[in-house]
Amino acid sequence: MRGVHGYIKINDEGKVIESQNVENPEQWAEIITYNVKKGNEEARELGFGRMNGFAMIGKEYSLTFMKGGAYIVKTNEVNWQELFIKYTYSMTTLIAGIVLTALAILFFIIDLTPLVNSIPYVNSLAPEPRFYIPSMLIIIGVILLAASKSKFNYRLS
Amino acid sequence: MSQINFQRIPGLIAVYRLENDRLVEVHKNRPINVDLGKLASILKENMEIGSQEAKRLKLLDPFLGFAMIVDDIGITFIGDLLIITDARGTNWDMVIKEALRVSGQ
Repeated sequence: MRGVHGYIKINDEGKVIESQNVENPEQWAEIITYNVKKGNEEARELGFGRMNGFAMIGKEYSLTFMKGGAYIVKTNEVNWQELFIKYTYSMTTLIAGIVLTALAILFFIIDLTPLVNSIPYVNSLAPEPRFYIPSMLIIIGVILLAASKSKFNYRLS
Repeated sequence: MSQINFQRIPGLIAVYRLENDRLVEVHKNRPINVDLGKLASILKENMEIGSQEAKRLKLLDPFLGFAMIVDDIGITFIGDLLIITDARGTNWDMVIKEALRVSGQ
């Protein structure tokens, strides 16, 4: 991702598991852990449930904390939307969509290619009514593929 | 100070300015159920803590502000400008860069 300078991964106890291009990662981890605790207290004080993530914005560099991982980024270069939010895919919907679309294409090939449907066994594989079934399949398949890309999810939660 | 273009920010709930420890409403799309007095003191406290932390970490210094997501609400505070958004519906790049621009950074 453009504008990312460094990375720290910390566990629930605030210990550094992994870090990349960060000087003194323990000090960062200590401050992040404190901020998470403080942020959750503030969230409750304001009548919310919890803090899902935070960013500290500096003139040149900023810090964001997400899912046990912190990124140090260049404030003006990074895309904050990409940093905070991501798409999630529903695997079952995605696989169902791929299978149905592939089947539809296969049936179309059998229906439309004389060289292929002249083989009696292969020809019997395509369901009746011809064209109608694969047309329905491809519509459902494409809808499933589109639906598999779910709404935005927090990267931070 | 330049004008903020509210219509461009999706998922915008409200904008306030912190003036003399009080939050003054600048723009509101829908009501937000938060104690503004409490929020103002939390913003001030976080700016103080954040500045100290930024000095220790050096890289984040000078500290300009912060953003936090509480439940589904985005709270962004830069300079004296508070932007409250729907955290899932907004565009964070727009919110943060607009806040930086308006506060003259």
